[in-house]
Amino acid sequence: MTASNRVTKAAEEALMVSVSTFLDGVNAVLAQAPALVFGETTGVHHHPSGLYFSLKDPEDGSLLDCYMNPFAARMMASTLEDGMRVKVAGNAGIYKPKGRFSLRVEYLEPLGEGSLQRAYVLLKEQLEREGLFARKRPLPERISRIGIITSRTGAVIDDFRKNLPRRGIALSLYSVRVEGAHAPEEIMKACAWMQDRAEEFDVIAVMRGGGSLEDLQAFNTEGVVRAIHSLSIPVICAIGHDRDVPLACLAADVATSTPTAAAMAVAQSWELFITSVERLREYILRATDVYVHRARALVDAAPLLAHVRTSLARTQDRVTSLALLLESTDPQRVLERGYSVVTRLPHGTVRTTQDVAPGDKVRIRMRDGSRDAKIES
Amino acid sequence: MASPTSRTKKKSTSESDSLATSLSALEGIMQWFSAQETVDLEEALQKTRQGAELITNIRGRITDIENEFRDLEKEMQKPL
Repeated sequence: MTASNRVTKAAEEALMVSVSTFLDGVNAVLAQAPALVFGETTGVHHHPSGLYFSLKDPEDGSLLDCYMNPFAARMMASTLEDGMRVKVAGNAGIYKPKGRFSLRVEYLEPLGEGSLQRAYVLLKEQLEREGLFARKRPLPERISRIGIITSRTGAVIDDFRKNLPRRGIALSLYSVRVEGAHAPEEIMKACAWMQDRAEEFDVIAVMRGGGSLEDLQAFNTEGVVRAIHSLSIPVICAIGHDRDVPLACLAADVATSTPTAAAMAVAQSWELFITSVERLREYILRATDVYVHRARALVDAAPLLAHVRTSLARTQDRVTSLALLLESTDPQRVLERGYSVVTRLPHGTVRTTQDVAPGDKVRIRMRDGSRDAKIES
Repeated sequence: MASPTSRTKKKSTSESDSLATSLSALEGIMQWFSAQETVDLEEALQKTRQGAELITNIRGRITDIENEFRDLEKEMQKPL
């Protein structure tokens, strides 16, 4: 063995690695390059350990094995079936025990109207069976604290704010992307954030402007629908749509298609209160009218009362005078003092001696009775 | 059927009439006394008794009317 040969062999030994190390190296390189791939699903297999499927290129039949962990599969692909066009995002890698190359999918979204529609129908049926669309809680009265989940940019938040009643309503915005691969995850996080602060809000408003089925896909993903349904606070969902109502809206307590309509729903929560205040105002006005009327009656009655008071006093005086007069004319009083009254029988007052003659019969009236007598001389 | 108000009104009017009648009767007695040159003792005593009854009756009615009037004043003086 020459010296040159010895050097080459040493270099080879230095470069040579084990299978495991080699695959680790490959995986490390692949991990640096996230992949976004589209294709048609085939060999879809839902398994407790995860979702297994292949993506097929319809042009030349190329296949890419894919895997989704159970949680991601449940959130995004529980209704996945063969023949759907999807786009997936994730990282490629080699599964070392089998040496198989596959894509670990972290995000999956149906692609194209047909697949989107199919996924929408399948998920809608499934969630409907589970009862996620049945619960409709009434909005509380006088909504004054709203948690908003939407994008900070765009007209939606402005439209909503502009149309809210001017009643000092406090708004808390959790800005999220409402479209694209990251939208579902952000919306779910926003829901969790709101739920953690449930006591701080009267309602949650989830909003987005209009768009195609593909644009609204985030609101048709299972994870988002479940996150909305799990909120303990009533939810208003305002997502623009043409034909198919987003599944998120079906899971909400109140669904509108515009932020303006959502603001009107909030305004309506004040109606009963406003009506009550109006009624109270009318009652107060009516009561005031009654009092004013009564006050006028009192003012009108014042002279009459004075007149009655004077009449009463006058009558009192008159009666007192008459009583005194009657007392003074009472013959009994004279008799009480010891005087007697003599009358000639059968009748006739005796005032002087000339009024009687001997032999006349008279009656003498005294204080306690009378006696008859005869004039003798 | 007459309302309570109209009944009350009727009662007051009746009392007032009765008071006026009694007052007239009392004044009639006093006039009788004034008109007599010679007073018939028996009749004078009877008139005096009648007058005394009328005065009692009139005073009772005046008290009733005063009470009613006081109630009315209280009612009208209640705060609005």
